[in-house]
Amino acid sequence: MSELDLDRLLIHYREDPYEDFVVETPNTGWVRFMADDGMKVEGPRGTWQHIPGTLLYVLERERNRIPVHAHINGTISDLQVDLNGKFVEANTYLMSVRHPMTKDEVIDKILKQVLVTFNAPERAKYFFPPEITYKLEKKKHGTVLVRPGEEIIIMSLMKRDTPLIYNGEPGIIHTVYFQPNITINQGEPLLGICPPGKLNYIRKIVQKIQNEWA
Amino acid sequence: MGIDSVYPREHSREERLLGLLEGCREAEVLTRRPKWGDESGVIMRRGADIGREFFCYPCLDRGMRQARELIETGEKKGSAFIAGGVVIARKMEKSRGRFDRLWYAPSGGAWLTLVLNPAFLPENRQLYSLILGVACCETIRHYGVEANIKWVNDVHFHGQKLAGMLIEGYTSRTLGEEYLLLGIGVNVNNTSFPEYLRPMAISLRDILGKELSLEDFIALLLTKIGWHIGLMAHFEQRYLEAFYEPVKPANPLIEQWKLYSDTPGRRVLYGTNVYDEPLFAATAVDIDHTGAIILQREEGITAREVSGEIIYLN
Repeated sequence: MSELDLDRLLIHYREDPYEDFVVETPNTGWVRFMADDGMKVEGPRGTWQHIPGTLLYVLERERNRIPVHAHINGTISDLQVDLNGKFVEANTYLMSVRHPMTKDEVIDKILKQVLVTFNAPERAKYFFPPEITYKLEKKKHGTVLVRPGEEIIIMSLMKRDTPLIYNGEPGIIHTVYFQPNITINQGEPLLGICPPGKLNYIRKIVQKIQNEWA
Repeated sequence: MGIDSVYPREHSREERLLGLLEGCREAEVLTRRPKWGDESGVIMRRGADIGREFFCYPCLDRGMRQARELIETGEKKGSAFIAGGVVIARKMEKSRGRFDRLWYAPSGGAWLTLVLNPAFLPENRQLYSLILGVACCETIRHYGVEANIKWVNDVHFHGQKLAGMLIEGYTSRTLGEEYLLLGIGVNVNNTSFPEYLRPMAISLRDILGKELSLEDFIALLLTKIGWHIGLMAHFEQRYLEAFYEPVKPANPLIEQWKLYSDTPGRRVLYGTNVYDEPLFAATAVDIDHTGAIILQREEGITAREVSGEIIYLN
C-alpha cells in the first residue's frame, strides 16, 4: 500500500467536489425518460431506504414496466435524449447523476484508496456473524482484527445464508459500509479493512481532511 | 465413499431409500408425462443427482455440521463430496434454524441435509429456496393435505407450520469447493411439540390421523426436489437459447410457487429477522421472476425484497 499524495487529492476534490454516477439499463427494453437534463434528483430515503428516489426512467420489457429511481441525490447530466422511446440493450448508458460530495464522502472516497475493501458478491442483505457483532460491540472502534480464513459476514438472499470468508491480508475492520436491513447491490463495498501498521496513517488522513475541508 | 464418522450409520436404511427413490422417479416421469411429454424423462434425469448417496444416522447433533464434516473428511482423502448426497437423521439434538433459533427435531420427523454444488446460473441461485418450498408442498399435497407456501418457503397448514427449510453456502476448507447445504425439516409423524411451539406447529400425522412411512415420504420429497432442479436446468437452457429474443420463456418454478402459495394478497409483517426485529407492515402483492417479494406499503411505496421473512397478519 503506497502512501497517497493527500495534498494533491484534496486540491482535486476542492476543485471538483462531485462524483458522477453512471445510469445504465439493467436489461433490454423500451426506454421512456421521466427526468430532464439539469434536473435535481433525490436518492432513496427513510429508515430502511425504503422510500424510492426520484423516478429517472421506465424500462418496459414483456409488458412489465420497471420504474428505475435515482440511487443518490444530484443533478442529471449527459441525458441520452435520442434513446427516449427506443428499444435498448442491457448496460446501455442513459445518463449520469452528478452528486455533490459531503466531507464524510470525501473522507470515504480517499480512504477507499487506502483501505482494502471487501465487496458484496451479490445483491443481497448482509449481516455479521454473532462473534464479529460481539467483538464490534465490545471492543473499541478500529481494534477488531480479521484474519484470512475467518468468516466475517453472512450474505442472506432468499433464505440462503452464505458465510463469506475473508481472504485478504490480516487487518482491522476500519469502516463498515453496510446496514443489516438494507439491500446492498453487487460490487458495493461492505467493509474497509486496514492493515494494523497503517492505522495511524489512516487516522492522520481523516484528521487532515477534517481540518482542511471547508 | 467410505467416509468415517463418530456417528454410526444405518446402512440398511440407506439401501432401502436408494431403492425407493428409483421407483419414485419412474412414477414421477409417468405423472408428469401428460404435461411435459417425452421431455419429462429428460427433466427427471437432469435432477437425478439428488439422492445419489445417503448418510443415515439414528441421531445427530446437527445435520449441517455433519454434512460439513463429511465434505472435509472426504476431501482430505482426495475426493470432493458427491453432489446430491443426503444426510438424514432420525432425530437431531442441537439443530438450529436461522439467526441461531432453536429447531426442534425429534423422532418421527423428516430431517434432511442435501448437499449440492451450485449449478444454476448465478442470477438463479436464490431459486433453490423456492424449489424446496414447491417440492415440499407438492409432496405434502400428494398425501391429500392442502398445504400452502408462505414466502419464501415455509410450508404450513392453516397457519401451522409443517415444514421449514434453510440453505447455507459452504466453501470447503480442504479443496475450496463451493457447496450448498439444503436443510429441510418436515413434521411427518412427530406429534409432541414444546409448549411454545404448540400453537404454531403441526404434523402430517396430526392432520391425517395416521402414521406415514417416513422412508416413502423422504423418497418422494427427494424425487420432487430432483424434478424441480431438473426443470430449472431445462428452463435455463430454453432461456439461454432465447437470450436474444424479445420474448423469453416464463419460469415454470415461479408459476408453480404461485399456485401453492397463499402469500399474495395477505397483510404481512416484514423484517430481516421478523420475530425479533419487525420492520414494517405491508400487503404482499406478488413475487417477481427472481422470487423477490413485492410489498405494497400504506404510504403508497412499493418495496421489492430479496431477503428477509414475513408473518401473516390476516
